[in-house]
Amino acid sequence: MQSFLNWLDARTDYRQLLAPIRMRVLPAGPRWAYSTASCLLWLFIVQLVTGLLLMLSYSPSTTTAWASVHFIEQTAAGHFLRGVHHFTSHALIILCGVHVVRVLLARAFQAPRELLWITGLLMFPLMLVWAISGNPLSGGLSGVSQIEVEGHIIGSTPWVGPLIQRILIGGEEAGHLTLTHLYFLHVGLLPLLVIGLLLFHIGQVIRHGLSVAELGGPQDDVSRWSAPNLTHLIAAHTSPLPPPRLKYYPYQTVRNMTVVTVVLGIISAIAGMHGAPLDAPADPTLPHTPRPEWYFRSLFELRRYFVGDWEFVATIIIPGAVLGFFVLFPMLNRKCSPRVSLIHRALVLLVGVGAWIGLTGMSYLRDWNDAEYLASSAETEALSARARDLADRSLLPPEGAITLLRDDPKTQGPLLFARHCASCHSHADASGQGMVASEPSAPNLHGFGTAAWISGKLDPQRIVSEHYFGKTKFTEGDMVSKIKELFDGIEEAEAAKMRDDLKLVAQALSAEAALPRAAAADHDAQAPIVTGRELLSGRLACTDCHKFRDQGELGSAPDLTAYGSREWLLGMIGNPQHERFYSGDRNDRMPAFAEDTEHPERNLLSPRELNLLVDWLRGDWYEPPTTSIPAQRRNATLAGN
Amino acid sequence: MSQPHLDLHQTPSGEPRRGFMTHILAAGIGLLVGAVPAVSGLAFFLDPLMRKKKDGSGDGFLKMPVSLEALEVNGEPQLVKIIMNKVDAWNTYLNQPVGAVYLRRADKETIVAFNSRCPHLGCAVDYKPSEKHYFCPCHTSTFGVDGVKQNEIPPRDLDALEVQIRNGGEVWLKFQNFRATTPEKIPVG
Ligand code: FES
Repeated sequence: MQSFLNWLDARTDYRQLLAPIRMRVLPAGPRWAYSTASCLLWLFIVQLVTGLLLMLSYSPSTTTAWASVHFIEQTAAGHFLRGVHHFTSHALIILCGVHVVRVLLARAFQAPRELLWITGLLMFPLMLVWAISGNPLSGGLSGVSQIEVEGHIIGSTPWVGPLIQRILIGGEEAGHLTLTHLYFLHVGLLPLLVIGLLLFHIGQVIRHGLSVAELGGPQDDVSRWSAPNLTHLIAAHTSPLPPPRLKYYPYQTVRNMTVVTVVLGIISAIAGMHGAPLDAPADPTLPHTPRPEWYFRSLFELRRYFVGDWEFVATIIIPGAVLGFFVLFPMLNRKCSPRVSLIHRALVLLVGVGAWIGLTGMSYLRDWNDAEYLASSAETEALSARARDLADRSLLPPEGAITLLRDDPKTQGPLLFARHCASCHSHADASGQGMVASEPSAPNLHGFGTAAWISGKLDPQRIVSEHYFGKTKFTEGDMVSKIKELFDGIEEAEAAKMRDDLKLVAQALSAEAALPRAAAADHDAQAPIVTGRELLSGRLACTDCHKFRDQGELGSAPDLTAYGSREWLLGMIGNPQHERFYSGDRNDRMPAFAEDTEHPERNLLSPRELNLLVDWLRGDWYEPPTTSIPAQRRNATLAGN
Repeated sequence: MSQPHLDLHQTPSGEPRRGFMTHILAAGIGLLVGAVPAVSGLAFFLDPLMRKKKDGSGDGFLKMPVSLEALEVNGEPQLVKIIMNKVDAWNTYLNQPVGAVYLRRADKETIVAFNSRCPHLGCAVDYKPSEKHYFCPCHTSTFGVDGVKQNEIPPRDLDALEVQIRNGGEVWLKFQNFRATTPEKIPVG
């Protein structure tokens, strides 16, 4: 072995290369605090390795990004790996901050270490850009809207801003090229830049760390690997004996590795339990309120104080000045006595950290007190969960993940209803949950077609409430008078009997709707349904006005055949003035949303939208089984293919 | 390669003139060889700046799915999605929602249209009927129902779009996006 190592050394000089580590002595002894640097290095390596591995299955384009990330989540260990990559990026940023603070406290930026300090400082913003360039790669809602807003912020820089914005986004609108460009930054350019700076940084550590003392010369304490820091000074004052001179390796190394292990342990635990977030696929038509990552919250808050023409102060001047100040700090601090320098540094630290925490906290407080924002972010979370459920259900179509929510009645229904229906109709349950029109002037459509909803309409009191016909001209109409007539001057016992009969009618009509959620109930209630049908065209004589199956005529009231079914609703919303519904002037303000069957593009609702709206009104959408075990389903899918 | 003329003066012996020429030659060849990947790389990198959106056929006006009569005079603005073919690098997507506009009938004859994109940083503004203004949730810009900004956050008013009433009641609109953050309306694309 020894001879092999000698052979190797003769050819590579590896012993000399390793000497800075093997021979380094720590005059002040090993310190836990020194571990920040080594911890950063290891986390950096973790990022390179996990990032490289994720590239195995990631594909940057608007059609494939989200799908491939969802795929990664489903592969063995992909969920964990992506989680580690995600949370390590946050840990790296935190540790970068801690490291800068430690170096500042240790005054370790003094001559001749200025370049060490500057390269370190430059890596910090690069690290932030590196992190945010990774966020949109998943093609998720928040990541993509973040980069769009960031693009506009960059674009607001005079002269070069719009050009950089265009190159970053790859055009005017976010699209395929946004992802390929960010990918280029995230896995190509930025790693190269950071690695270059890092090598230089480490080179400087080695260069300046090799003090005379470390080579066995006379003790000289000033420009050592770490200049005396606060704790060292205190230790020197309080302990009578000088600390033992221990070698860096293994005494510091063992501390470093302990810290790295603990940090990675925490990251792995979080990654294993939560995994990295995966938002709904980005779609500009989905409601979403973008917010920056926590490390940009302070700048986001700052922008509130510099509005209009002054925005550039918050976007460029202040961040630039802070970076510039820190870069120049060694020079400003050079002539100071240790005591004055200490005061300076403590002040900078207090003001800097204080301002950062203050601004960040203020920004979060503002959001936590903003009901509208909270609702919007809860909505984003719900959309994201929904998209994941739908994607778990089957493999994605080649048009990409954007179709998941675009073709989902549960997602699109409320949006369409809010846009087209909610100025007149509410869609809210008994407790008021759902959409409540500001001035309801038409029936509440929550539960439309269910036996409960129809029962309400057949109740003499409820039919004239604003839940049904109260705010329409039908309060004066034949339907209302007919229902009232049924109960006119009858005994309570008879009224109870009448209510039971109407319940059967409601059940029969609800069976016409064939709601998927009521399929089992309809199936079990064949007898009452048949009775209800008989009442409808028999004793209660609904068919005097309404058509029902082969009884009655069209023209005076809506057709009750297949009432509330998919095709009935498509027709009713498409054109309520059709003779099947409210022909002529019997229609009360309900617009025709898809009247022109020849030119669907001229209609308020496209055929697609109309279908989504109707499916949503009928509660006809996919729900994941409540006891889903994704892993099992995944295995089944994989086995099936 | 650095400061060849210094070498020239400081070399006491040898062939300074030829040395100088060699420097020039080396630098020249180096530049030439380096220029090929540098220039082509730069051109490739800057491609998004040179790409111009191809203009669609026609006058750029789209027929809106609402007619003049369908909108109430001086009523609430109505949000309408803009559906167009969308080009994204190597794909064309047919009939995609590419944006949204608010249409409002200001008086009997005129429709006012605003791009729903906030001129501040491009989030979507939302019309709040209860407050009778447009609100942007990103940095709380607000605009009156006439599109005029109501606080100092946005750089300009909402972007009004050209509207034409054709054939007695059809609403046609020229959809455009404008650059965010600038006080002037600069069309993009
Ligand atoms: S994007 Fe609308 S306020 Fe900032």
